Amino acid sequence: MFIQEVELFQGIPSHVIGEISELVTQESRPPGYVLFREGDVADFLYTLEEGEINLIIQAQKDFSFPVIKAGSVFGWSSLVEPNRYTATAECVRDSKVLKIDAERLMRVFQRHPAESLIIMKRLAGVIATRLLKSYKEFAASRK
Amino acid sequence: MVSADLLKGYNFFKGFSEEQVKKLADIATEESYKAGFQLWKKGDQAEALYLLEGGKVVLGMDTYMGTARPPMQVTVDIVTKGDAMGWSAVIEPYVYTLGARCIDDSKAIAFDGVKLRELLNKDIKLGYAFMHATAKVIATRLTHTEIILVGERGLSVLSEN
Repeated sequence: MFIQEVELFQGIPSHVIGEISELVTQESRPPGYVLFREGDVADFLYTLEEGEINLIIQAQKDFSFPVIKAGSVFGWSSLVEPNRYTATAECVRDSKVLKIDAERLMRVFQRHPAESLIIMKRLAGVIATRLLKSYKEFAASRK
Repeated sequence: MVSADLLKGYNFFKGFSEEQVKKLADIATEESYKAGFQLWKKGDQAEALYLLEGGKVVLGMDTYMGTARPPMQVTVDIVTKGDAMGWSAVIEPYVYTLGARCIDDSKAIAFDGVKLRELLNKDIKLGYAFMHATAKVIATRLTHTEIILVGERGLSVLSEN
């Protein structure tokens, strides 16, 4: 996967993409592998390249958010204070992820404010989508 | 417009420069609403983002219990003094995803959505700071909601056993 296919970075100019690409490492992990745990210091932003990841809240296996679409981002807590993961990310099957060093990514943002504004708008949208999903779960639990 | 000092009292603007806060104060207005006033409904164009100065606002969504019955309005969050609400005004497609209704007489600082988006696109450093603050607020709400959800699930598991 190319970094410009990641939902946050689509349409971002190639010179900025080039800088972001330098911060990326690829990992292939088996089912059951935990990428990070809820409460851990959030150092990396992740993107799903292949496979399936479950974001689990406090090990309540029935309350989870599946990440199945290639290019989806998770681990966004790495870009938002207090920089602690809010869920545990576990591979459901063999999965490939792109891992981006968040601290260095924030430095790229400082150098390119116009592009970072676009990325931050998209990030807020990603978090808002998950919040809406939580609200729906909450509403369903009230029935 | 409102005074910059009024905005500085809000956590949302922590880390913003004097100049940035002044620009935002210039497009803000203060509004008051009676208890029961519907600020917006789900699906409305997101015309403003608000900071609540006082009172209480409930955010609700419809849940459906079969096709034969009308949807039931469920409160999913409560906004109180100091909280931001109406983030859809700065997040595409700029449509509110929940309804908002005052349950107490309430007062808010309102940022017109069109003016706010224009300002954030024109002053990109301010835009970045504002969107970062917005992301933080949404993330905090998310954590809060998930804690409640997990707590309820935990309680229901306990009561089942």
